[in-house]
Amino acid sequence: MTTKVSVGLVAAICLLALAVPLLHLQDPTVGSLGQRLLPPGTPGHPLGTDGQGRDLLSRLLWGLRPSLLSGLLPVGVAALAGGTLGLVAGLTTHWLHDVVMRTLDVFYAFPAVLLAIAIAAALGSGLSNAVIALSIILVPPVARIAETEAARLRGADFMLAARASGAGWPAIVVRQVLPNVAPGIVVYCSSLIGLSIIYAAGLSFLGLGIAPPSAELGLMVNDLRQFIFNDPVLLLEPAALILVVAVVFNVAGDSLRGLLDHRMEVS
Amino acid sequence: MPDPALAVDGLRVSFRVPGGEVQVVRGVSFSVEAGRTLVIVGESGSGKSVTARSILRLHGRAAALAGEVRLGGTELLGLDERRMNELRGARVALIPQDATGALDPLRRVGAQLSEVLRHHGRAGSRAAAREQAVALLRRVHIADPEQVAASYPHQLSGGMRQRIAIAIAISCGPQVLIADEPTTALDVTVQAQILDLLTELQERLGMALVMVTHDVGVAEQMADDVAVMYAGRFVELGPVDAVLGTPAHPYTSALLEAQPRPDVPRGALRPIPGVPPLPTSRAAGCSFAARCRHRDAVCDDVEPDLERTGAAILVACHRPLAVRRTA
Amino acid sequence: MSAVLEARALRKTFSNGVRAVDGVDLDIAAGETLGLVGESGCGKSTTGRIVLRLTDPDSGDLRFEGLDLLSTRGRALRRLRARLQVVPQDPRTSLNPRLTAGEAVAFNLRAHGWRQPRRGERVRELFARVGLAPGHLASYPHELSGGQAQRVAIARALATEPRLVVCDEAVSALDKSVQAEVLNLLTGIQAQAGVSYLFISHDLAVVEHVAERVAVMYLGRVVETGPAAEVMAHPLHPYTQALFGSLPGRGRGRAHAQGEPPSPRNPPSGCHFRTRCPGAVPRCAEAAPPLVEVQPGHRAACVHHPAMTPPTPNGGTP
Repeated sequence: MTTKVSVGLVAAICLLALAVPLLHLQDPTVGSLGQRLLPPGTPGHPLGTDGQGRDLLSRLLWGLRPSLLSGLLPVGVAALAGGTLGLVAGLTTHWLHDVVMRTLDVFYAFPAVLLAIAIAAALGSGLSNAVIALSIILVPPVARIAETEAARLRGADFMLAARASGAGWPAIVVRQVLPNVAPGIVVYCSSLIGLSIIYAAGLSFLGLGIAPPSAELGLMVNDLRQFIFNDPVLLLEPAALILVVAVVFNVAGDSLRGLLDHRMEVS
Repeated sequence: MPDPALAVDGLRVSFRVPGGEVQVVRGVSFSVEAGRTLVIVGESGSGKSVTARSILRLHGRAAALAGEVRLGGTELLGLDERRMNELRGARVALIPQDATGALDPLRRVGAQLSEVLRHHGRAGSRAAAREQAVALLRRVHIADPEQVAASYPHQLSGGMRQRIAIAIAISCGPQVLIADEPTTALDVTVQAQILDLLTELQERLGMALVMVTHDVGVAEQMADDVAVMYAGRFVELGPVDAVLGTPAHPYTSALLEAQPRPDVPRGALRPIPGVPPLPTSRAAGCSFAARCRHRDAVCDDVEPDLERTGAAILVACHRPLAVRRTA
Repeated sequence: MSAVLEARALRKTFSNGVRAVDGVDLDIAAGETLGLVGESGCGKSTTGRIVLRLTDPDSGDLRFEGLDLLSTRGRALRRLRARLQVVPQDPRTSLNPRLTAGEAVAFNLRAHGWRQPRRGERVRELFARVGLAPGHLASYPHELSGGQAQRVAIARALATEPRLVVCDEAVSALDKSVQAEVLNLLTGIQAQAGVSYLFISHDLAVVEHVAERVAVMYLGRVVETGPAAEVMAHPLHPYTQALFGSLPGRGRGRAHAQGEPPSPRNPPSGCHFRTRCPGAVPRCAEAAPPLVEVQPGHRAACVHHPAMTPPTPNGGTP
């Protein structure tokens, strides 16, 4: 998939999610038990209904919103917090570097998913707690990337000249370091979005994210799981949407990396 | 009359790049007799390293080679890879620019040397190979060769690693030694030792030596014959005293003038204006014309061939500098 | 003549045990070029960084324009940096790959309060001074040749009218023909602006051409210092002799240094060069020989050179 196509798809998904309140969809939280488990293609319910008779098309589209949010927001937070930590660690060589990196190592020692589950469970259910948990587990890898990129620059001759110029550290970081380090961090973070969406769905699946009766893709997978023998297609719908969204973001991230690598190779 | 140790005729080397092919070496010819040294002098981008490495066909399928390369009586460019591999190291060997890249960082030095010896059938058993390896290290004047043989490359200095690279190169008694900027990465005092070592080994083993360098001083010291390379071709070729003493090509002359020397007043160094043409953007005519002080109309139209000028020098120029004949 | 830079007894040992600088004295006068020569590991680059206050020495004294540089910190130090600049070695990495040539030079001006439109004018002026076409203001480093990139680095160093520029192997990575034009540029600027250079290089031919005085370093110490022409023509210290004798080519003396340079972590006692010196005697291991003036202005640190003794009143030696 070319860059344009994948980035276009990402934009389309985001626009769709934003536009959902404007579409005249059925209420995603209300269903009638007489309408349960209707198959896709039923007039009035193009994608069928779930176990409580709620329209699946509506729930999928409404569920896209918190899913995307819990994919994008933690990555954004991690980019800022992790990026800052990593930059500071990468540009210094003394105790500060060691303190930051070893603290991050502690977080690294735990498998990310388990840590997210533990934090979310400790904080309680709800979208904001899920976002907090995911942000925390995404900070160490981003910080590590930022640290590597910044450390690479530390010995460069132009950094020597920058330090000798008489400029203060803020100016050096913003004007000299960031333009070099930001593309790498951005590319890495774009590849984290897909992962974050899946983790968020996982948390909701386990009952740790957004609470019912709200629509959320992971939650929907959990709901429809029990009906797998009645009508497997219904379960596939939210699962497929999670997959498609994650893949589209991943491919867009890859294309972005390819684009930036090429430009950086030239220099 | 016996074949020269190495004879190259019309060597052309091209690389495939997005958008077509780029010719980096554009018709190079020379021959070197046993026991003699040819030094190829050029700046970065002249194609000198590619020339040297192409003799050993080290670029593999990335490069398209044309012309003739004869090692003794054997034509190299037509050989299959298996046969070429037998000759590499055994009859023609390379001393690379940076020995660090040429040595395996995970294996002890002695083991690497032994492997080369056994691969080319110079030693039968492991023990025999080990002994020969130590003897080779001694031959390149490494003090305490047993200790060094038991060391890893990163434990040794740059000069020491280069000696090891030389030891590997001469291990199977090659007829031709190709040295690609062998001292560029070394300190001056170590460089002197390495150059002396090469001279000594060459005298002892009677090898033909082809050395590539950007340092005119190295050419002065090591060469019997000098070839000056610019934009993929030789622009001048001849005995060292003639080429460096009374250069016929304007580029050679300009290069010599650009060297900082004590007798040149400050601020009066003569740089060569402009930059060498990129291999991808060569125009018609002489590739040096745009930067030449003596250029003429014909220089922009026709690329001059490498021709004899009367003295012992071959020069590729429509208006070579006057060459004074030595009495 | 006012000294721009005075360094005394600089010492620096790194945390990995390398004794990079082991008691170095330097003097640079206004408008003069001091060449600092030596091979890799001799400590010349570290000395340069100490002078630039980018590395802190363990001990020693450093005065710049009479000011104690080592006790200058923070804002005062940053302001002082306008007058103390650097031209680094590798043209490929001496410029930030993500900044245009113009932005790279402007950064230094910005750091000292230059605002538009004067800043833009000054950048253009500097480009003209180093012989770069205005079209290159918007060029990225990968679009420039090695020589052009070094010119930008020089323009950047000159931006704030420095009194001392540390050229750390500034031409070593360039082809000889390009080296010539950059050297001409540096000497021309010095003649015009009276700036001093600490010219660090391993290339003796270049230093000989560009420096008035030269200091030769070996394993962290200065072993010889004096007028460049004098030191090159009549080297006193065995290491200096070996250095010149090792230059490739014919017609130079063939004095050589034997063996391998020792480890800077564990240098030989007394005179560091004694393990490779053809003239070493047992006394060499006892103590580091001090720099003594053997000829006027020409000093060497070797036990074989007696200090110049002043004549006694009745003409005999004391």
